[in-house]
Amino acid sequence: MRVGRYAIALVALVATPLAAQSVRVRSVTTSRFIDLRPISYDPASGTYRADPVARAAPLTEDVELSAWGFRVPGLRAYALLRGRAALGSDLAWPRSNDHFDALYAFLELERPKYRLRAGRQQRASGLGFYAFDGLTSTWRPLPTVRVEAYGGRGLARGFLEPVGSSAIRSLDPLRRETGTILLGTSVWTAPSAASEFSAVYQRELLSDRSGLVSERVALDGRVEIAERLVLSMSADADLAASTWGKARISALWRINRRSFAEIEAFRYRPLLDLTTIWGAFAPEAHRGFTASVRVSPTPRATFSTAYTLRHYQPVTETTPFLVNIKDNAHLLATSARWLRGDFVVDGTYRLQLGFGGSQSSGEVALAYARPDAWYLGGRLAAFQQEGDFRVSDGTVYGAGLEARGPVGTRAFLRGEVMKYLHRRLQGSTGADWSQMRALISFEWVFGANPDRLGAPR
Amino acid sequence: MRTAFGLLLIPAMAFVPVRAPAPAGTPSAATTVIVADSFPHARHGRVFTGCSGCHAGISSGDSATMRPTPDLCAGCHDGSILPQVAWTRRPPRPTNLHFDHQLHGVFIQGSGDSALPCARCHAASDSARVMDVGRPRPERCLGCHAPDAPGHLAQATCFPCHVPLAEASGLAAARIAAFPKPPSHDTGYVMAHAADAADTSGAGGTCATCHAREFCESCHVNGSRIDPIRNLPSDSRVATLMQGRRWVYPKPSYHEAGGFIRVHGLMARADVSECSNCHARESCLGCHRAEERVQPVAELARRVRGGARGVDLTGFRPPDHAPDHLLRHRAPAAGGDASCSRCHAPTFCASCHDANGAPRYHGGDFVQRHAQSAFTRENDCATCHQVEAFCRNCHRTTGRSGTGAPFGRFHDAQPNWVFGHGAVARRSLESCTACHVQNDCLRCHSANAGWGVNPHGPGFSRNMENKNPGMCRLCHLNGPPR
Repeated sequence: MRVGRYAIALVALVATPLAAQSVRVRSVTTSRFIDLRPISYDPASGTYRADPVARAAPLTEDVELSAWGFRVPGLRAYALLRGRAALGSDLAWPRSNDHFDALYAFLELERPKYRLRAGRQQRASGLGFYAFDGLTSTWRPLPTVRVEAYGGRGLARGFLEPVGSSAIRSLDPLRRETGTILLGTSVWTAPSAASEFSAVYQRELLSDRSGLVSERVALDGRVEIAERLVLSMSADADLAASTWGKARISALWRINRRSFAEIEAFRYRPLLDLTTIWGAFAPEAHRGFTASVRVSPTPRATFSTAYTLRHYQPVTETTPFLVNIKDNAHLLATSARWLRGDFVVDGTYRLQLGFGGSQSSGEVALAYARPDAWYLGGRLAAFQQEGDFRVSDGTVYGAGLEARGPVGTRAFLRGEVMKYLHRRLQGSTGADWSQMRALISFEWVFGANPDRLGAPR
Repeated sequence: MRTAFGLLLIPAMAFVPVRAPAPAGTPSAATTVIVADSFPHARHGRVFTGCSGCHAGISSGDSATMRPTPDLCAGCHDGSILPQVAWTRRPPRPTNLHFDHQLHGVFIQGSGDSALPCARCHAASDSARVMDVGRPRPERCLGCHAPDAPGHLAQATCFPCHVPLAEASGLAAARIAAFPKPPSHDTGYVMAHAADAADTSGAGGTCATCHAREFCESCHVNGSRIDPIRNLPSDSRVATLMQGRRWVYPKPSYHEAGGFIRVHGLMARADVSECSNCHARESCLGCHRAEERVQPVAELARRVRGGARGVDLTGFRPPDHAPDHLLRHRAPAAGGDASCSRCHAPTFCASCHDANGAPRYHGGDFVQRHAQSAFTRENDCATCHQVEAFCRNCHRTTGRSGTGAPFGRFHDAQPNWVFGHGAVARRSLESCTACHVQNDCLRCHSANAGWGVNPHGPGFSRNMENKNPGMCRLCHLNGPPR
C-alpha cells in the first residue's frame, strides 16, 4: 500500500512535462556479500558457541532524483529512494525484508528570504538526526539570521519507520503502536564571519497526545579569535526529565593552514525517550577530555594523533560484585597519510584500554590513486580485543582489495573484498569473527550532476 | 596591422621576371628566362620613365590594367631583342587591407606633389632614384591615418584601411593567428574591453577587423546573449583556432575584497549578467550543488561541449572550510541544514552520516570494532541511530541479542554479573538497549512483579508520570512482565 502511494507520487512527478524542467537522476546499485558465523547459546555446555557459516547477499538500489524548473522559481522535487532485496541469503539480513524506503522525498520552494520544504526529510541539528514526514519552514530575515520551524510525523532514527510501526514493535513487544509527532524550532545567527550560534528546541509527542516522548534543547556556538583560535561549545538538555545531557567545549589552535591542535572537555549523559522504561532509569554522566593534533608539513603528508580520557563514576561505590572494572577509559588513535606520485599510503592505529574492554587495532592501506581515475588498493588490518562483558575476544587478521573508478563520464564502479581470520585468545568456544565481506557497487548519473563537473549534459 | 600594410600593392608587382643565365649552346636572344617572384624595377629604370606604363589602372581605377599583362613584357622580351620571359600574373595576395589607389593618387596629386606620387608610398628608400621600388611601409600610412594624427584623416577605427576579418576570406588561419596585438590590448585591457566592444559606432567596430564571434565565445560562456558578440560574423578559421583553447580567466579586483564570498549572492541576485561573462552555471554548481533551481544560477549559461568552459572552481572551498572544518562543522550545521544545503545535497551529508547504509564516518572495520566504542560511548550512537531498534536488529541476526542464556552468560567475564550489572548499566545504558528488550529489565525492575528493584536514580521526580503515564504503567500497573 505504501509502495503504491510512493509510486503514484513518483509517476505524478515524472508526468510533469520534461521540457519544462531539469532533472538529475543518480542510481547506485550495491550488492554485498557477507559470510559469518552467528553465535548461539548452547545449554548443554552453558556457553555461547559459533554456529556454522551463514551467508548473506543483501542488495540495495538507491535512486536520487532531483527535478526543478516547474515554471516556479526555486521549486524543486527531491527524493532519495532505497530498494532492498536479499539475494539468496541464509541469514535474515537486517532490513532486507523491507523492500522500499524513502530516505528523502520532499518538495521544496527556495526563495531568497525563505524556504519551505514538505515531505519526508531528515533534520540534522545539535540534537542529532531526526527524520519526519512534515513541513519545514525557514525564514532568513537577514543573511546572518535564520529561523526555522518544523513539524510532522516522527520516524525512528536510522530506521525511517514510524516509531509505532510493526517493524519497530517486532524488536520489542512492549513497544506501543502509537506513533509520534515531532515539533521544533531553531534559530541560527552569525553576528560576524568569525562567530555563529544556534539554539534548537524540539518536542516529541505521542500521536494520540497521551504523553510526551521527549522535550529537548540544544545550544551550539563557535567563535574564532584572530583567525588562529577557534572556541566552540555545545550542550543539550532534556526538559522532560530536567537533566543536562551532553556538553562539550573545545579550543582549536591553527598552527598553519594545514596543521592544528585541539583540546576538548566534554560531559556525556544519554537522553532517553519516555516511550520505554529506560526513560525513567538513571544513567550517570561521565566526563573527559580529548587532546588532538594534526600536522601536515607538506600537502602530501599528514600525521594526526589524539588521546581521550573518560572518567566514569566508580562502580565500587555501588556494588562489590564486579571485578576488575576500570573507572577510566583511554583511547589513543594515530594516523598518517603519505602521497608519493600517484601512490598513497594510509596507516592508522588505535589503542583502547580501561572500561569497556581493551582493543588494539591497526591497518595499513596502499593504493594507486590517480586523480579522476581509478583507485586500486590493498589493505591489511589486525585487531585484538578483550571484552569486559561479552564473549567475543581474540585476534583478527584481515586482508583485502579495493578498486573504484569512473566508467566513462556518467558511471562509476566500485568493488572491495575483505577477508578476516579470527584466533581466539583463550579457549576454543565463543564467537568466531572469521568472515568475508565483499561489495560491488555501480553508480550511474543522468542529467547535469553538479557533483561531477566534467560530465556532459 | 603592420604586416597587412606591408602587403600593400605587392600583389601588383608579384609578376616581376628576372633574367637567368642562358643555357649553353642556345641563342641568347631566344632564351626564355625563368620568372622570379620580384621584378627588378631598378634594372628597368632607364626603360621606364614612370609607373603608369605598366600600372595604368592605378590612376584610372581600372583593375584590369593595374598590373601589366605578359604581352607588355613581350614587347621587348620577344626572343630576338631580348630573351623571352615566361610568367603568369600572380593572383592577388590574400589580405584584409582595403586601399583605393585612385583616391590616394588624386589626393597626392592635388597636394602639389605631382612628380612621382607612387613614390610617396612605394619608394624603397629616400634616395629619390627612379624606379627605386620597395614594399610600402605602414608608417607612411600612419603619417596621416594614425589614431592620434592631426587633421581630418585621423582614424579612430581600423576601417577604411582594413576590411572585417570575415570579408578577408583569402587569409589563412595561420595568418590570422599571427595578427599582431595592438598596443592598446595590454594586460589590463581584458577587464576594460567591454566598453569598446559595446561602442559599435567607434572602437567597437574595429573588433571585427581581427576577431570573429568564435573568438569571443571561447571565453564568454554567455556569448550568444551579448549583442556585440552576436553581431560579430562567424568565421570557420577562427573556430578552428579556438578549438580546445583554455583561457585563464582574470580575477576582477573586487573579487579579492574581504567578505566577497559573503556578499556575492546578493550581487548575483541583483544582476547576474556581469557574472555570466566568465561563469558558466557549472562554475557555481561546484559549490551550490543543490541550487540549480535558484534564479541567478539558473540564469547563467550552461557549459557546452566545445564551447567556453567558464571559470573552473573545481575544488574551491569557502574560506571557512579550512582543513579543520570537519571538526567544526557541527556548529554551522547545528541550526539546521538551510546553510549547508545551499552547497550540499542531502547525499553529501549521508556519505558520512547515513545511518541506513554503510557510512564512511566510522572508518574501516567498524562493524568488527564497534563494541568498545559503544560501551565507552566514544561515539554518540543515538545521534544517528535509534539504538534500541537499529542496533538490536543486527544483534538479533548475529545471535548477540538472544536472551535465552541464564544469569548473564553472555557477560561471561563477570561471574556475578547479574548482581553488579547496574553500575555498568548506569554508565552505558544505551549499550544495554542495543540487545535487551524491556521485558529483560522488567524481570527485576518492576513494581508489581519480579524483585521490585527500583531503577530510578536519586532525585527522581514523580512528575514524570504527568509527562508520559504510559511509560510508568509498564512497571507499575501492567502486572508481571511477559
